[in-house]
Amino acid sequence: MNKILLVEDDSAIRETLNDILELSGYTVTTAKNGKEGFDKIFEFEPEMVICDVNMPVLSGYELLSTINQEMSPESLPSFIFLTAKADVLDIRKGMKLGADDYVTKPFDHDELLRIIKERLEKRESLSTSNKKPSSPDSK
Amino acid sequence: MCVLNLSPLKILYIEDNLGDRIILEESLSSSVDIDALQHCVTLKEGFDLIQKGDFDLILLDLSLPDSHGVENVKLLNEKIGSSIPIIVFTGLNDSKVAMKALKFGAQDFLVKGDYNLLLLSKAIQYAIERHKVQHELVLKSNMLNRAESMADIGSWEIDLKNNQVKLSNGMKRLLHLDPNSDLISIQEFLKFILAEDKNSILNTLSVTEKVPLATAIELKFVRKNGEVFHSLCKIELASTATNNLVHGVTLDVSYQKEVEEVKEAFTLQLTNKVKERTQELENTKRKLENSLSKEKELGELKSRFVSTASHQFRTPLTVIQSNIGLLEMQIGAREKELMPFFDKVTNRIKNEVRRMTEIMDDVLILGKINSGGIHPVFRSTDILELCTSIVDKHNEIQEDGRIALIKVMGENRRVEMDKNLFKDAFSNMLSNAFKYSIGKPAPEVTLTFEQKSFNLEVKDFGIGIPEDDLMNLFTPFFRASNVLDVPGNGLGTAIMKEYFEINKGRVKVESVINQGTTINVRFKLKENE
Repeated sequence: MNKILLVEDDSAIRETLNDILELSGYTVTTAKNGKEGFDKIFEFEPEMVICDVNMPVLSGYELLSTINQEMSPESLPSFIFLTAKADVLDIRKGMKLGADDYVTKPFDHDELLRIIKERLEKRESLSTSNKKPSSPDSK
Repeated sequence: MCVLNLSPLKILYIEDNLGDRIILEESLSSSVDIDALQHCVTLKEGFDLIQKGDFDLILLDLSLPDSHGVENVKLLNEKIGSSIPIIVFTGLNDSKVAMKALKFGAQDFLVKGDYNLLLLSKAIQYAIERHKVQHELVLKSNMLNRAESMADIGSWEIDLKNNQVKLSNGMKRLLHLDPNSDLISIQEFLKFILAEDKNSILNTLSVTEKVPLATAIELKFVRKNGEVFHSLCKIELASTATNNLVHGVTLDVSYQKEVEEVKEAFTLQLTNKVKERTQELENTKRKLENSLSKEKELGELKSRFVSTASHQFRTPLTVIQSNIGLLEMQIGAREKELMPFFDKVTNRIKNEVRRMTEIMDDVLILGKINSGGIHPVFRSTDILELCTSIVDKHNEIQEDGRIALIKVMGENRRVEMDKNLFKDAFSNMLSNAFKYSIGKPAPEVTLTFEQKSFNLEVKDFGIGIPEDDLMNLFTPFFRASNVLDVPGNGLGTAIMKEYFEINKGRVKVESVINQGTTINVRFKLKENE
């Protein structure tokens, strides 16, 4: 099953999201801030990180830019930000940093699950094609 | 023999004794034009002649039929105001009478039978000259008195050697002394100076004695009646070989002093007033600065509060919303027959969460606008393309299938614009136009490109805005009285206007109730756009 790392400082959101994701069949690990998230990425090796922006110790932006530097492009997990819609100008900043998508708080669980699914499928297809470099389909 | 020529002189001779007259006329005949010598017998006749004639000299006998003795001189001089020199003729060689005659104003006296031509002519000439000098002296003295009186000036002379002080008439008047009063001693003079100023004049005197330069000092004098007056004095050493003199002039400046005091008091009052006002102004300024900085602080606090509150509210809302999701996932899987009811309830909750989220989003945006937190990025934008995509998006979501059309006037051009702000503002404009015109024709969008401007107009045919509400249309949280149950939080138009204004657009609204609303935004363009 796909592994998702959830980085969120608010425990209520963290626990609820954890339940939703587990109920949907994902293997979930959580972190309380960017720093903890950074450690868990190497320890847990998730396919996807769902990450809050404003967090103590290390923010979501800082976490993303750090792993961008530390990890090879092919080993990077998919990255989805959880943010406020009113910060639409800040969202651009996150997308520029290389995030795959963003979900605004509060979010509809169906919407979130749909985005996660789409992203993971896209990633799957990319890595499959990457794993078959000598496939006769690819040139 | 030296004979003086007295011929141009006109002489009046008052004499009752014929013999004396003949002797005199004979004595004078060689030097005086005899026609110029007039003669009369009585003092009365003399007066009359003087009134008519223009005499240079009067020869006066002391024993006349109507008057006798040295009194004649006095009477005559009083009558003519000492304007003509008088030489007295007397038969008596009496020095006492002679001295008295001189005191009464006679220039000289001659004893009958005891003179010759030389003596007589000399006496006449000297008398005239002396009288002239005396007369001038009197005139000058009068002039001086007048001047002193008019100028409130007095002068004095201190004779240090003889301990005497001479006061001019003017000085006597200043001190209220009798004009005929005599010399006074230095000690007496000092009594007229106020005690506190005595040292001042004594010092000046001692300095003046050594340095013959005029010194000016201020002194307060005491008049005879005890009145004090301020004066300005100029003091100068005027010593001669035999005398040690100090001259002084005193100017009464009481009036000027009074004026000056009034002026000073007034100036002081004025200065105090100015100081007071300056202080008041400063206080007001400080208060203003305080309240300004407080207001600024408050503004910052407000925007920080708005931002924090908006972010903080979001967390519980997220928890509520996501837990409803969690419930849906669980219940949906197990209790199929409960789902319709469950959906109804969760949808209500979700809608309210959405509504609250929208309010907070908008409040956050307004807070950002007010605190200058919006940083627009102007880029050359294809406005027609942008507008078309926004209108298309709105057309798609209309449940009643209405479609807004875009009319373009002029030639489409690229315009410098912050695309995101424009998009949000135009979307709000369009969404309101649809929202408040349900059951009426679709709104019309018109883009007008002119040489120096670009116009965006959205016209709807909806409920309109009551006239009284128009002015508050852009006030946050304000909603017109006729919106009834059309949902909205009253923040959209406020944000729309701010966003258009950041893009340098001017928003104008026209509305007729139940006929529709037209919102026009005019953007000024630069020449090269």
